[in-house]
Amino acid sequence: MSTALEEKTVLCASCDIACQLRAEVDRGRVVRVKAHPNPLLRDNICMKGIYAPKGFAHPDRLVHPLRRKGARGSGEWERVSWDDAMGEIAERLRAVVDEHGPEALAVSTSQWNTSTESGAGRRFLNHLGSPNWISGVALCAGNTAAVNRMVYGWFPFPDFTGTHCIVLFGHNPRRHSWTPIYNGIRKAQQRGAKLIVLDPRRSESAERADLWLPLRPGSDAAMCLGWLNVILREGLYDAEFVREWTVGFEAFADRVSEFPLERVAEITGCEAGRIAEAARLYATAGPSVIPWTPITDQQRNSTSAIRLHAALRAICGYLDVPGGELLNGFNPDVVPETAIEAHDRLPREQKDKQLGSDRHPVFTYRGTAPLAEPTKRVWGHEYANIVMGSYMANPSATFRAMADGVPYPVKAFIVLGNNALLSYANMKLIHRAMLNQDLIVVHEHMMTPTAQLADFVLPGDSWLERPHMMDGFGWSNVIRVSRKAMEPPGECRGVYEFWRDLAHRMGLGEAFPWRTVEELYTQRLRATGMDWETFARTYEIFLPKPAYRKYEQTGFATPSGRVELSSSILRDLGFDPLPYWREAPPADPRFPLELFMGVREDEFFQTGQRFIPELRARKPEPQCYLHPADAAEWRVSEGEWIDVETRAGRVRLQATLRDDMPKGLIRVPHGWWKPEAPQGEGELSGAWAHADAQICPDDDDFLDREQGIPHFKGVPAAIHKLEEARA
Amino acid sequence: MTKRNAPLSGKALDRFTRRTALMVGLAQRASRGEKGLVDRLVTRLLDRATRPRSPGDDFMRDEIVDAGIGFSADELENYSRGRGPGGNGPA
Repeated sequence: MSTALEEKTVLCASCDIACQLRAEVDRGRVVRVKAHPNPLLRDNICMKGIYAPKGFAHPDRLVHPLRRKGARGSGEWERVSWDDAMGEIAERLRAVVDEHGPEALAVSTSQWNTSTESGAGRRFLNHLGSPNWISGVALCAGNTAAVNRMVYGWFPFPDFTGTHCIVLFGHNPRRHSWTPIYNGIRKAQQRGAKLIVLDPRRSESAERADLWLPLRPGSDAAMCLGWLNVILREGLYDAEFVREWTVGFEAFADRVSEFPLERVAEITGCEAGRIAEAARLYATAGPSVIPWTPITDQQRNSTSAIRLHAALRAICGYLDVPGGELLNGFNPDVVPETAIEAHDRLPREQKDKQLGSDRHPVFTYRGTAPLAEPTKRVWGHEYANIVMGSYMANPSATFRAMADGVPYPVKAFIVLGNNALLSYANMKLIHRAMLNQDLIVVHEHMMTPTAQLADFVLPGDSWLERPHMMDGFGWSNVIRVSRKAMEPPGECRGVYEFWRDLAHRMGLGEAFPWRTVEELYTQRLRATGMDWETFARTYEIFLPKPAYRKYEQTGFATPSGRVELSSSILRDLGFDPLPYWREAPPADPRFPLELFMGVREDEFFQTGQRFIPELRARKPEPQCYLHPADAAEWRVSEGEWIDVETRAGRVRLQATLRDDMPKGLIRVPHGWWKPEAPQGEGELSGAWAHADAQICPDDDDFLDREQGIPHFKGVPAAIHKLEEARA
Repeated sequence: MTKRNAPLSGKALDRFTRRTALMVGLAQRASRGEKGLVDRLVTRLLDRATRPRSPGDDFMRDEIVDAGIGFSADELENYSRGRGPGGNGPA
């Protein structure tokens, strides 16, 4: 007779969506991860969560601290105790700080630990004095949050439950990728909401759309200008909202008038009539949403395009209304993670040293400084690090400082749950940067290519092995709870423990009075009158009261208190205060195709999960998609290995012919390496062969001006058959 | 000229907000960790109200999710020690 297994509520960190799930525990091990029975959460689970127990039980999982023995990247390691490792790390970090200053430490993190450290990493950096924190969120959601804040002071959250129309700019949520968003969109469609998809490829979402516009990759900003042209010309906007709550409308309208439909049709490759039809549908359907998209995040005109999304929301009157885009603010009963990060402790002169803030300030301290007073006025806190994206150094500038010492040396690099070598543009630069470090510490589950270049590799715990209180990356004000479902294996430890230990060894112990992350959560929950254990027992989800049109009482959290269609912040930073369209550099005949990079596969999140046998069996090799006509022209057949080349480098991928691809476009998956391949310099477990970071250029032609993030959507490229590549 | 479907405002918005607050209250009851009788009742009501009307409407059904995939503690233990299918460690 079987007995019911103990169940724990957990928050999945297999990707950055954070589905709340149930873990079944048998004899101290999580043996099954399944959907949560709560009606609000039912079905929000994907294959990455389901196979997570297998992944965390992998025989090659790192379970003891390791110290490098041979040359960097030699693959020679010795096992050390945590105490010895942390003692030496602190000593070597102190030497770097003494010689070069605290700004000589850079930290790169990702979701699986960042969201579970409750701000400890930033707290450490801010008390030490380094502004140089980078993350993949610079290219994905974090940057969008920062740009949105410049327009209306917060990053809005789409209200799928009541929306009338959903606009997906290239985004393609699926059953096993961005699952709750997919669920929300499908439910809304079932209710009768319209779906507009703008995607060069006939994606799964495009197949289900009421209107599909196959725009050229990277032309999102021009498309938005075209929509706005229709909406303004035909008077389809909320005139009262515009009059009462925006600044810069006339100048904005003048800029928009420079983009008649004929011009926009030429830039985007879409029919003028279809562009107008989409614009009219969005503006007249009733409260509509343009959910965050990783596609607009990664373009040469990203800042303008994100601002234009924001402008569309605002002038149509869809901000903070049911079915529109909600400005949630912080949960009033819980101290936000941003407050724990202690950005106020970092002195002004250190903030000014943040790498990249001189040329590309939008998501740096310099760019967000004008929002401090308005954010305090409207949301009660001076700092709002929504999706961790508002106070970042620029990744490319950070790697240049690490590699070349310009404008100053960065000589210590701490990497937590982030395969940094494969996670940003220009892998060759990142590799050179890492080889030039005095100290590299990697906190990880597996021996990733990045870990292979470290001095110390520390074993990290997983989301099944620690408690967590999630505030939606500061984006949603819903608080969710994750219980520790099992003990971490071996000597695996959490990120909070790492930072607290290092802080104490570096003389910063007073900044970390909480002995455990549970004590820190209790501190954050003090307004509820509950400690962490009581709170976690009482609530799986802690929901705030609904409120709409809050700006009518508080104004917007911008310098003007209104929606800034013409940005005072960008003007003062020396940029065009109005959104604009910037053409691509002249065509290079060596690269006649276009590349669409940064694509996520259902089986994997970024560079993770390729060591899980069941997931890898579904997607054993890195596949690039191309149209059969392109394949014929380039004499490539299905399943053939080819080299894909840009001016930054080349990678080897397996050709997959797809008639849903437009002709002339190649689609490359993100983050490939092969955990089973030889480790160490030379191969780096297949990263040198397959990682798309090698073909992502990050020179000025391919950088968004204001943010300095790279253009991944429409990079000039060529393909080579292997015999040509070898010749 | 095309007519806009305007967002809620004024008293209509107030009414909507009160209705939503009630729904949030119910959702909060269904989201309590240790559920009492009322919480369980509310959860059941919400569950029924949010289930698709027919299997054909249930776009979230999926063969991997519905297979109830799990592992035994012994299987995972053996796997982590490199024994069994897929293990890379010493046999």
